[in-house]
Amino acid sequence: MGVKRRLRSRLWVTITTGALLAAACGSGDGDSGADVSAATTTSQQETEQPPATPTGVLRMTSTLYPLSLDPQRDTNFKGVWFYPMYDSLTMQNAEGEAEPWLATSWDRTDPLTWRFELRDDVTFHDGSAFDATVVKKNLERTKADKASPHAAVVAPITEVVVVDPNTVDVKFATPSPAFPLEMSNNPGMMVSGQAIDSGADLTRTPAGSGGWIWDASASVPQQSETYNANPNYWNADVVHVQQVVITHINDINARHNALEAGQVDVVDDGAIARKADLESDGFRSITFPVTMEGVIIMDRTGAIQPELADPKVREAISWLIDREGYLSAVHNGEGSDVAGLFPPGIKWHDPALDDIRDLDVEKAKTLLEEAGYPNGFTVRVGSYAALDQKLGALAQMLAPAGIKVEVVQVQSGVLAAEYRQGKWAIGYALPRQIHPFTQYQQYFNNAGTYNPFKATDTADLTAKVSEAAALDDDEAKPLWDEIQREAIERNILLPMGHTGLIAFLGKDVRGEPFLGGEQPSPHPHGLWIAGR
Amino acid sequence: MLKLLVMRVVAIIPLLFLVSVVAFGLNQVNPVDPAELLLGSQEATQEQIDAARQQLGLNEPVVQRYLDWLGGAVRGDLGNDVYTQEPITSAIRNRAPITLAMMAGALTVSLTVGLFCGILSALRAGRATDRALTVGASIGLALPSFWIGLILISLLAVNNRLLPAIWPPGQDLSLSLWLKSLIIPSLALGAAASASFTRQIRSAMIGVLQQDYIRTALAKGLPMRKVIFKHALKNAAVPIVTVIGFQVSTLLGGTVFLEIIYNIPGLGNWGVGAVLKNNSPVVIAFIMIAATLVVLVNLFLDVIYGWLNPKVRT
Repeated sequence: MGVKRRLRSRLWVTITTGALLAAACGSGDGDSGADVSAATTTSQQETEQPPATPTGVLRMTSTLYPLSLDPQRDTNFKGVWFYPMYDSLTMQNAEGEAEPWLATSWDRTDPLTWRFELRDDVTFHDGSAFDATVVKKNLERTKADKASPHAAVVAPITEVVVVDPNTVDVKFATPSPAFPLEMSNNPGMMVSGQAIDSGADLTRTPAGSGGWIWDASASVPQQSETYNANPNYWNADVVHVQQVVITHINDINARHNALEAGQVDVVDDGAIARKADLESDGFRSITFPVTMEGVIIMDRTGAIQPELADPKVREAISWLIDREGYLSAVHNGEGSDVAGLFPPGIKWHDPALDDIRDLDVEKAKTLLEEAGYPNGFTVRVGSYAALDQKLGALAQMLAPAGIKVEVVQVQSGVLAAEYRQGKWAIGYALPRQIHPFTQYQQYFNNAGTYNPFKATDTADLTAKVSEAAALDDDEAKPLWDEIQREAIERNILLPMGHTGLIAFLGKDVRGEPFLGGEQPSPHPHGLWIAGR
Repeated sequence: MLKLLVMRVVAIIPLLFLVSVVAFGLNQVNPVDPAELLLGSQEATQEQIDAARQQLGLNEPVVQRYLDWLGGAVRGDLGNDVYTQEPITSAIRNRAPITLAMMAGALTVSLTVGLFCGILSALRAGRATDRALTVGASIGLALPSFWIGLILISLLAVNNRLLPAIWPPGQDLSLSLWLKSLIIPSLALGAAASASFTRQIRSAMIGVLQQDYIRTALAKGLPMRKVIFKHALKNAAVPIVTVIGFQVSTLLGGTVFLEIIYNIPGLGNWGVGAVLKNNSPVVIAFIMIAATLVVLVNLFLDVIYGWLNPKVRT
């Protein structure tokens, strides 16, 4: 027995030594989250004033990684990767309105022309100057790029006229009331005229004028991008950090863990269910009141899902959507469950549409029976980690009427492209709720991005939309209310809930973040890190 | 022994060739067109898609493409990532060390824990310690590594900030930070393997400890430590070595989940992303790496078998 005891004791020594080595390894380095903890304590003693010169590193996350660093080759949702290095013509504020950025002002000289007055003190990172000619080159470049996800934004442009070096007229075939707002997103990001002239491939060689300059040597493709403060930036008042590092973290729990462990400062696309506990721990949250979550029925011609060609089937689905239940299950009960396309608090909300659709399983079953599908059918929907819970909820909502939703995993970064390519009959949609014209053009207009199957079921609304688009917003409101009603009754885009995307900021982050855009992250402008 | 080694090495070549044919063939039946994905829009014209397909070499006959790939592969050129145009060999150079280190860490953890618990369990066979360790091993086998990873992240990174909660971004990590970042994934990945080793070592050791020569050795007065490590363990090692072979494949699969929850830029994360995007050159490279790794580990184990059991050398 004594021998066995000695053996056990030696084994314990071995294990304990290993554990001590691990512990020693875990406590000796200066780069870990443990040191950030110390910084947190220090930060509380700092003043609330931004540093005199750009200082420290702002570490941000992004749930999606861009396929390209060319702003015209990726969606607005991934804007966080572009805003540090590119300037847009306008900047969207928290209320969803366009504010001056590279353009100092804009107005409609006639219903088909937007005139932009431009800054005269902007220089691109490559040393070339920004002027009206560059705006013309950019808009024409995007319009010529048939593979750009922003084709619909620039499609109505007929001509870009350089009035003088700091004034440009953008002329349209049809009125585009939301165009200045669109110019706050990727389509409005200006690429250096010099780069455009040279035909440079911008996939990994950005050519912007933004507050930070992309650092190729410190960036790791598909992992993280690093940007260093632009010493010649025209708007130095909002560049407070020397470096911005954006890391691609697809898993939502990993993003939250990184924030709580002090490894990142800003987490995009957070879980609203974590809001209360993170705020109680001293983290800040920012809600983007700009999104509706819905189901978009794209295959209304029945090309790949024959059942959906029948309007009764589409209506049946609309009566199966339990918005209150969805918000409760997915968003902790946060958000608005109105049936209209805009929630209360948004200019375009119409109270008369609040109850235009409500959960009615029996009605849905009757409609399916009338359509010849009494036992329902199976429909596939593309998903990735961030959508799994939401589309799981959709599957549960449609199940009582026999509609089986088969959730298929795809790579997150390509789902929007696959929608446009007509690979999916239905999909998850996240329209922003800023202007009804934009929403209509993207999701309802038969010439829009999400009509890959060439349905013609809204062609009769075109005249009314054009009429509304030509008016000032206040005058156009009654018309937009009518259009909304008709769009809802056609069961194309079915709201599951009106929510805000949420981002979380670390305890050391100071400053008022720029929100705006369709992307689920604040911009780095205006932020700094206390104590670092 | 040398003959055994040569025979095994020679056998690897047709095996890897077969794997490459199957991997390449399976990839051809994937209906997703990389050219369309690359252009990323339904509004891309047919001319653009055709040009992209031409540029990617997708219009060549399948056999020609395979031969082109094979020609490049034997020279060490596995092609480029469809989306980023990053050379695949470069991506492997960046990612493989992380995944391999994670697997090595997990094997170290699992063998250390497995040996300790397995031997202790065998020595205490039928007693409370043995039962407790057996129950513990069963629980360890039942718990998925990603769940253990999440718990460890919560305990060691989020709540106590002793270790990173995600793999730190950047390409110039210090060695200490690199090693520190491997602790949680190695522990999580090694937990299930520890349970497996514990059970296997316990079983093997119980059988060996009941042999006459062990009784004789103890009766001669040899110390228990010497009996166990010199006489018993070596004879119990053959099934343990077999389990190591199985565990390498399991660990490689387990890295995929842990690389996602820990945001590790390793091979698993890379391979899964490539499959979802139909990034075919990466998918084929990933399959070939996995196959090569498993084959090499099994070759190594064959050598170990030969060392452990002279009968298999002939």
